[in-house]
Amino acid sequence: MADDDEMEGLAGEYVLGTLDRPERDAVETRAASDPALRAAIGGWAGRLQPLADLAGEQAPPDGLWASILSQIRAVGSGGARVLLLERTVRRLRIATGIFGAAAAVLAVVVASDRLVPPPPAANYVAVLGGEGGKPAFVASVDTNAGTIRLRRVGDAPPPDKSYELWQVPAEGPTVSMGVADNLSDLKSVNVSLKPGEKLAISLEPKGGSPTGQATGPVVYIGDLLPAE
Amino acid sequence: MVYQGSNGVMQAELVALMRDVASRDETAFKRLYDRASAKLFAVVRRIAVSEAAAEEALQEAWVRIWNHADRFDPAMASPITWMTTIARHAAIDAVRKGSERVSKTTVVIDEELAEKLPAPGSTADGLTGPQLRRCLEGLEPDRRGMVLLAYSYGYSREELSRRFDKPVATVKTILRRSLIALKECLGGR
Repeated sequence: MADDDEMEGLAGEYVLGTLDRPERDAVETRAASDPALRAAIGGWAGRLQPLADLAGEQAPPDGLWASILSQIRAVGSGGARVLLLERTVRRLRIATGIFGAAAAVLAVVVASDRLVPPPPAANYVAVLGGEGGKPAFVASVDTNAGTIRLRRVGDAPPPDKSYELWQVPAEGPTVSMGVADNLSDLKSVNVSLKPGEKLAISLEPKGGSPTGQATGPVVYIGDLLPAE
Repeated sequence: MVYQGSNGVMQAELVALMRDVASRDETAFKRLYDRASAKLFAVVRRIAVSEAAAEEALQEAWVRIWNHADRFDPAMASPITWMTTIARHAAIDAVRKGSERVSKTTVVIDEELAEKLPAPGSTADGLTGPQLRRCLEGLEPDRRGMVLLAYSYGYSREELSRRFDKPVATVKTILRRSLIALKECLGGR
């Protein structure tokens, strides 16, 4: 009973919009593997929809569709894009060794400081830092749920630029995992991730790399470490 | 269980469009956009602090709809309901990124909002609206205000805490109790 109320309250607040971003991300992660929670969310969205209907209709500006279309085409329309980025990675591999130890320490802190409500079992964590060694992003990967939660702890990108997240396997092609401009992002993982592989952030034009290749410098990179 | 629009045919068309969008059909996406954008823009506009912010949030919402269309499950929600949730979250993200909201003090009074819901007994808009109105009216005014400001204007717990002069933790408790009460009033549906 109490558990029921807890889930209903969580789903209700999710729809209401009063959860903060980490809480909302946690709900989405959990909902991915919890049909009861998905049903509760659907129930609340339906229950409260008449309030949204009250807003009526307002035509958006004419140019908006073109912007949306160019954004979805730029970000890639077929899920993960595959490309080669080995040259950059080779150059950065030397730099990352230096703060690898610091990252491992941080990862322990991150792993033990997980957010409520019920955290999913993250399989990997990664701390992404730049040349100064300061962490800029913390990532936690849940391969069961197929999600990667990315939390920015460093500076936001310049206003006219976007951060883009890449999976960098030890061998073979590098895969875009989308733009990472928000303070906190929840991404789907469409590729297999293994310890020893890296996550990297490159600086791209606003909205992400327009070419399917990383066009800007790799500014942050970090190793995937087992979380448990 | 799930809110149904008054037009079942339109509903079925939207579900079919969602399926095509999930398979990356840009033509279907444009049709979905043409069908739903004015509604989503009105929803987003209420939450966003400015016209420009609303446009940005709407764009973000449509990108998310495109990216996550494969997660849409017609058994869980109607397409409009699913897209509304995404659009509201995109607008809320935009609002909470900045502190601009402080200046937005002249929000429509919560009481007025409830007035606009169809009256019980009026059948113009299906059954759900009047029932929700009746149940909202059954909440204490402060509780009703919190629910309405959160849903319609994207108020955070912190903003509600300031507006109603209650600790954030209390706001959370009140919101959850109000939601449970609403659900019970709506017959647990």
